[in-house]
Amino acid sequence: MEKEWMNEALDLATEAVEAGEVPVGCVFVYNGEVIAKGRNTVNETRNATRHAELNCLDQTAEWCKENGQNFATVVAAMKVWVTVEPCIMCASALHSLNVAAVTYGCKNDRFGGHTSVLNTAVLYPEPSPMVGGLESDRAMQLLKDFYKGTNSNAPHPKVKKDTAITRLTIKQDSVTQE
Amino acid sequence: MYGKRRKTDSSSPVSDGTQHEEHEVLENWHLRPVLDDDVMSDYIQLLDVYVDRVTDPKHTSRLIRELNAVWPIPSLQHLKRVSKSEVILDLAAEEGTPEICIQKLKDRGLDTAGLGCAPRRLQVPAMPPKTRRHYQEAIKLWPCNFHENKYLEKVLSGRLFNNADKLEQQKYMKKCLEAARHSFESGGAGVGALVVDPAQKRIIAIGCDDRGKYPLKHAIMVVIDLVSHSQGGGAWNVGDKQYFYEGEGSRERKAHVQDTVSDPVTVTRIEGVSRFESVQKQSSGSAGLECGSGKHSIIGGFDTQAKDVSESSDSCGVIYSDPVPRTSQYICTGYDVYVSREPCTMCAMALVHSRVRRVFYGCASPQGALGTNIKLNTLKCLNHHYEVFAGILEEECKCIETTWQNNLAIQV
Repeated sequence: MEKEWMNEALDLATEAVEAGEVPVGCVFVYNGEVIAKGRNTVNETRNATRHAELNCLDQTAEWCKENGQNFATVVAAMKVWVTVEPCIMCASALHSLNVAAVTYGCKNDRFGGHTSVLNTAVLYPEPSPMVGGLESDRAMQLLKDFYKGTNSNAPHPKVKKDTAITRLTIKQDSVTQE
Repeated sequence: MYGKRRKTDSSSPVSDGTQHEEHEVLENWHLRPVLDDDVMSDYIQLLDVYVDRVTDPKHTSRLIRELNAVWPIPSLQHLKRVSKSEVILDLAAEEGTPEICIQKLKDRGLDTAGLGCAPRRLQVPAMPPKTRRHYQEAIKLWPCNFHENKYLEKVLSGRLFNNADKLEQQKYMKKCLEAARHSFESGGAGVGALVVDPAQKRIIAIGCDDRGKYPLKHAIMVVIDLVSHSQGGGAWNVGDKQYFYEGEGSRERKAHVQDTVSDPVTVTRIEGVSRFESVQKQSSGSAGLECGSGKHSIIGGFDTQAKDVSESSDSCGVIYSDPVPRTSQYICTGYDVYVSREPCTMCAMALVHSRVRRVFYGCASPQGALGTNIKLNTLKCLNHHYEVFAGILEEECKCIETTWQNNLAIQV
C-alpha cells in the first residue's frame, strides 16, 4: 500500500514537469482514503511558497469543510506521502499541525527540513515522525530530468560539461526547487 | 549576508519631504540587527601555538622567510608570523612539546641561529576577525590582518539608517500594527505584515494573520500571497481588510475584496490609501516618472538593485515602474517585509523562498526563527539570505503579542 501512495505522488510529480513546475508530488491519506493530492504550483501562482504539501493542506481544509470534519482532528490522523524531503517551510507546517506521519522519497540538499539542512523537529513540541527513502531513485530522477530539460521559468546558468548531473540540481537557480 | 554593498539605502530616489507630510515624530525604539552569532559574540575564538623568542634581531627576516618556506601554516594566514621579538613556530597540538616542535623544524632544514629554542605556548586568534571590535581584541594577543567590511560596520554601529529611514520604518510598522489589531479582533494571532518596494517607497501589500480561519494563514504567508496577486497570481482569496496594490500603467490600483463602505474602519483605511497614492503620483510626476525608455530591472538581488537606484537617481530621480509587473518583478525580489512580531520557522523560510531583501520585525516571539530559537537568515547553506532587523515600535508590538500569548495559555 505504501508504494501505491508514493506511486500516486510520483505521478503528480510527473504532471508537474508537464506544467513546467518543479517535480514534487504529494498525497494525504486519511482512514485509507486519499483526501488531498497536489504538486508544486509556484510558477502558476507566482508564489514561491506554493509547494505540493501546502497545496495539499489547503485541499484538506476544503475536504474537511465539505465533509463536516474538524481540520485539526483530520490532520492529526493523516499520513503524508511526498516525493521529496519537505523543505524547512513545509516541514515546519507539517510539524506545527502534528500530522500523523510523513514519508518522503529523495533528500532535498538545498532546503530539506528533516535532516538535510535543518532539523525542524527540534523546534516543535510534538513533531511529526518523518521517514525518507521510499522510491528515492525515481523521485531524484524526475528532478534530474527536470533540471536537465527545459524549465522555461528558470534561468540557465552555464554548467561545465564535466559537472556531474547530481550537481546540476544544486547549481540550477530557481525558486521553484523544493 | 551583509557582504559588500554598493551605496545604498538612505539615498532613495523619492524625496523624504513628501512622505512625512504629517510631521511624524520618531518614537522611542531601538533597531537591532539580527546577525550571525560569531559576529555578535563578545569573545573571539583562540587556539594554541608555539612561539619562540628571536634572540638576535639580525636573524628576524631570515627566520620568517625560512619558516614560511619550510613550515607554512595556511590556517593562520590572518596572523603575522612575527610579533615584536617572537615568532610563531607551529600550531601546538595537545600532546606536542617544545622539543618536538623545534626538532621538527630543524629536520625540515630550519637554521635556528638567532632563535631562543625555548618555545612557549601562546593563545592567538583562531580566525580572521570579522568586525573592528573583534580586530581590536585580536591585536591585543597577536598582530593580525583585518579587511573591514564597511557595510557590516555601518550595520553594527547603527549608522545604516538615518532619521528619515527610521521614520519610514516606523510608518510601515504602524500600518502593521493596525493590521495586527484587526487580526486580533477577527480571531487571528494579532500579527500584521506589510511588503514594500524600498526602491520606490511603494507599499505592495498589507496583510494580517488569519489563523482563526485556517491555521496556515500566518501574516507572512498571507502577505506573500497578496504580492503574488499583485503580479497576477495568488492562491488564496483576498481576505477582509487585506490589500494589495496593482501597477496599471502609471496609475496605482488598489485591490481589496470584501470591502464594504458600511464598515467605518474600512472607509478610513481607504482614505489613507488614496492619500498614499496621491503622494506617489506627486513625487513621481515632479521627478518625471516616464523618463527614458528602459525598464529598470529590479531582478537579481541587492547589488544590481542598489546600482539601479543610484544610477536612476542620478539621471532622473526615480526608477521607471514597469506597468506589467508579471514580467518585471520576480516574486518578492528586492522587497522589504515589515511584520509586527518575529516570524516562525515556516514563515521565515517562506521569506527565503520569496527572496525578500530585508525583514523588519517589532518584537520577538517564542516560536520565532529570526533570533529567538534559530537565526534562519544566517544558515549558510541556503541559497538566499535576507537581512533582519528587530525592534521597531517594540513595546507596542510586544503589547499585542503578550495579549495573544496569554490568551493562548488560557485556552490550553
